[in-house]
Amino acid sequence: MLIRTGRWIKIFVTLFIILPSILLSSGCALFGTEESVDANDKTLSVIFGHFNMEEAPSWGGIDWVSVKQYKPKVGYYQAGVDEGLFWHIGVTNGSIQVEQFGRNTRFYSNATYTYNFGSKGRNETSRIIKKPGVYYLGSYKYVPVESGSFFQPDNFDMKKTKSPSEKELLTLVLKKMQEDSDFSVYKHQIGMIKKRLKQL
Amino acid sequence: MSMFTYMNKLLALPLLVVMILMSHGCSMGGQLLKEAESVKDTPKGEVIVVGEIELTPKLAEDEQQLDASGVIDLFGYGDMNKNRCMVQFNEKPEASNYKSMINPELGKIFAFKVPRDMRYIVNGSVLTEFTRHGNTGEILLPAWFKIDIKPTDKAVYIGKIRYTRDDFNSITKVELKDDYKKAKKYFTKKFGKQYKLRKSLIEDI
Repeated sequence: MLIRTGRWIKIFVTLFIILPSILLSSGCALFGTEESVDANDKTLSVIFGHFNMEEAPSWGGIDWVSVKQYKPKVGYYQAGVDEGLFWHIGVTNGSIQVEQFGRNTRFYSNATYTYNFGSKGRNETSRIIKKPGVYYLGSYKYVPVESGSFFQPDNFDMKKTKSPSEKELLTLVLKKMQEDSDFSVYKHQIGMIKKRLKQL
Repeated sequence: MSMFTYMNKLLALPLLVVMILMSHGCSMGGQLLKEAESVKDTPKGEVIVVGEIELTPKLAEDEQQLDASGVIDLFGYGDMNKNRCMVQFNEKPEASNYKSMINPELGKIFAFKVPRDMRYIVNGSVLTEFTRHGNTGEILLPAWFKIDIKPTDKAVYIGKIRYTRDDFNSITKVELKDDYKKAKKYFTKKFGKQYKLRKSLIEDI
């Protein structure tokens, strides 16, 4: 009876403690590493842009945008995303561009999507940031490109668009920063955004 | 059979399948042509191609991430690409899938055994990122060249190809340098004085 109880304890531990722990830890990894941005660091820049994914196979927009820094050293920024708008408020000086973006699972679909934008050379979102400021990486629309062959995967283009404009997007970023207590402490970034908006 | 033994057996099958798939995945890294060790041992159907490929600015230590997490690199795919490029040869001026590649070290003179009828260089790249999803980052090297190989050739020097890149790893300039003297010195030291290294610089297709 003791042996049987021990076996049941093992099964219980496996099913209700170990397995959920593994699943939870995988879940946490999905959110990526939290980057903390120093609110007092005045050397940081704000970057933002927009992806219109209406024609993409991944219904429901995108959830993440990964911006790669190439110089002075290799690093990545995980941008915040909201309905196509993406932004980051803690970018250091250097050469950056959007590398990948994608969609996580949905309640109606287990599929994840990753779109490669710039892992094989320079793309239109590239910027060389030499001094702190507000940098617009552009607005783009996903345009599917059919390969024309059953055996070749289809491709896509990110076509530059005029809408939404830099001003519209930056106004949205400012609104989000002012309304969210987590972001409203970034006075330096908010000041730079206001200054840029006056120029537009 | 206890629950745990059963689970172990249950896990063994997918693990085996994953291992097999991974080994296939690794072989997709390409069929590599071998480096030449001696002229005498080079088969009649092959010729030793000597040259150099330079990337400028050079790769920094952190620019290649070839240690994919969650992947057991059974075939040393990461090492195969460390500070090296992949260059593809073909009989025709068209790219073929991961066949007949050489992987010379960047900035060093190389000598590879190449089938005599493969006179075209049709593809080139430097792997910068290798993840469990495959090759996710590459520097694409424009390579679209022809080599003149004569039936009597044992070894040919094709030149030094210098690729200049921008901050975002786009190639902005391709230059061909004739560094035959340096190559000849290397060739003589490695293979002996008795063999001829004929200069046959690459030409654009």
